[in-house]
Amino acid sequence: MFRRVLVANRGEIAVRVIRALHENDVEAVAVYSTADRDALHVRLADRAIHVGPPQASESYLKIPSLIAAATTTGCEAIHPGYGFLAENPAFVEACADNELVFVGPSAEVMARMGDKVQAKAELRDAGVPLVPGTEGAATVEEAHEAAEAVGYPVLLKASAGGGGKGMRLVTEPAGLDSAYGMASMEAEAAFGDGSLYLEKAVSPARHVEVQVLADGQGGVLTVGERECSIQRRHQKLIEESPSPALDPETREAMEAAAERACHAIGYRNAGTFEFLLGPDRSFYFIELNARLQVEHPVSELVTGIDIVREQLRIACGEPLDRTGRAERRGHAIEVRLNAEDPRNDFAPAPGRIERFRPPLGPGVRLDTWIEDGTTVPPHYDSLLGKLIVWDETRPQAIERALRALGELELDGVPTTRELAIDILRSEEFGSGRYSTGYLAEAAERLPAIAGT
Amino acid sequence: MRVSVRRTAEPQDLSLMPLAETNGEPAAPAPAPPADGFSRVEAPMVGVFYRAPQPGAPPFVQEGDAVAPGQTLCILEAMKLMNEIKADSPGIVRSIHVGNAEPVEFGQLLFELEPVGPPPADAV
Repeated sequence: MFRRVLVANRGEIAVRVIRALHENDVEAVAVYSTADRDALHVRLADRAIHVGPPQASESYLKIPSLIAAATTTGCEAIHPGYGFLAENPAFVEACADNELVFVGPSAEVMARMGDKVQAKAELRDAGVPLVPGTEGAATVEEAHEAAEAVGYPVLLKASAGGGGKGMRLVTEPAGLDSAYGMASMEAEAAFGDGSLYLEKAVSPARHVEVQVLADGQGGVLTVGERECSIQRRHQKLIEESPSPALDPETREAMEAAAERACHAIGYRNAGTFEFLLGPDRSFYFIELNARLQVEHPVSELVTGIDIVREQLRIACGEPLDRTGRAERRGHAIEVRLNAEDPRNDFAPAPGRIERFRPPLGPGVRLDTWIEDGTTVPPHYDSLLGKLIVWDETRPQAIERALRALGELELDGVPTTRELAIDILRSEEFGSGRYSTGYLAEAAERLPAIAGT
Repeated sequence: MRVSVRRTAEPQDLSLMPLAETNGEPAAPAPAPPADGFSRVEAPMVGVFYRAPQPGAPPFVQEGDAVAPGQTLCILEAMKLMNEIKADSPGIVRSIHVGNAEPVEFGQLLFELEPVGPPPADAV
């Protein structure tokens, strides 16, 4: 194992990684910006280096300062956490150039998987299902043909696009021509490129992802799936494992696809394959997150595997003890506690935490960097912490999450706590039958958003 | 700000040194208030502080030296790049707060300069 590791991050994930380091008898060196001078991760670490002013671009994203902080304190490796530089191939290369081990995949694999077109091509070759549609830009005639082949409804999307511009949902053949014309004009106006491609519309869709660990020596372990369909504009709010939407066959097929993909692309360390799951249980690869994820504790609680410890062991060159599919037991739910105001379109709400008392008791874990009196700076992500609960069954886990959220005292800034309570109590969440459209559709019925 | 200056590094295994000794100072000590009117030159980045362009060469500045705007005071090395730190106003080097080849953090006090030049217009 390493002797000393730099944690190139802040907030709850820096705290999480420092804990893993200490449990493995590794010294932790933290970094901090001027805004985080008094933060918990600074005090938990064995040493902390001031790397820059509050702006992330001059501190947590400044590669030379982070590398210098690691080399001048005698670190052997850097753990990037998530966000910031975690998926930046230039940072991975800078680590290698300075004889530092990067705890994560190689720069080369990271760059390939960061290119969505490249990633999809490689995954298709590995036999991983992709959303069916045209392979690239299509004429209106080709779009008609492809739509008949994959079946309506279909989505027209701008080849150059993003953010919903130049996108149209088409439910029947009669609507395709006019939708194509409008989407193409919109794409031309927005991106200077009116070309469109067509995909089967997976609707209602669920977001289900598979956690993997790969040792780079041929060993791959799938650590179960996480259901992440409770989200607001692609920001996840509640995650659970196992997914209530998967039957054993689909689960096994999804994990097998992820394992195949790891071998095919030569993946190493922890990663997550994101899939769209259709109502007919068909699933399609969306992207690979080549890093540790916020919601990793959900998988830790159902498998008993410490994913950060495994990341460190893999980075040291150790092979996985177990490969194949990790055993799992019970049900875990994670609730993200963000400093955001759900009644004000989830506006970030930095400020001072006047009162914090974490919930305790059986089956409760809280990963946070918050304490009484912590000031949440405006410069960074609004995540205050994550409540993760485990219990034998899903209904019991929901009850436990509600009990813990009831115990939690978190005052001083608006948070997503009340909203989580509303969602966990809802009939849709209780039934397990919800999709990525749930929050938008249910918003006016949820007191924490509607204000009733 | 980058110059091509080479140094021959003494190979040493920093990972074996206790953390408290890898840096002479405790992390980010509260800097002493500057003496009257002295200007502070602080590290704009993390790096290793070098007083001279190469080992054995005379230092860029010594205590008591007068410096002109734009004159190099020291080098901070990060990621094998040498970043020159320059004076932004004329002054006399009154104190040097870091030893040669010591690591520095962002914001750490490097030099105190006594300003020189025409007295301020409001001086009596």
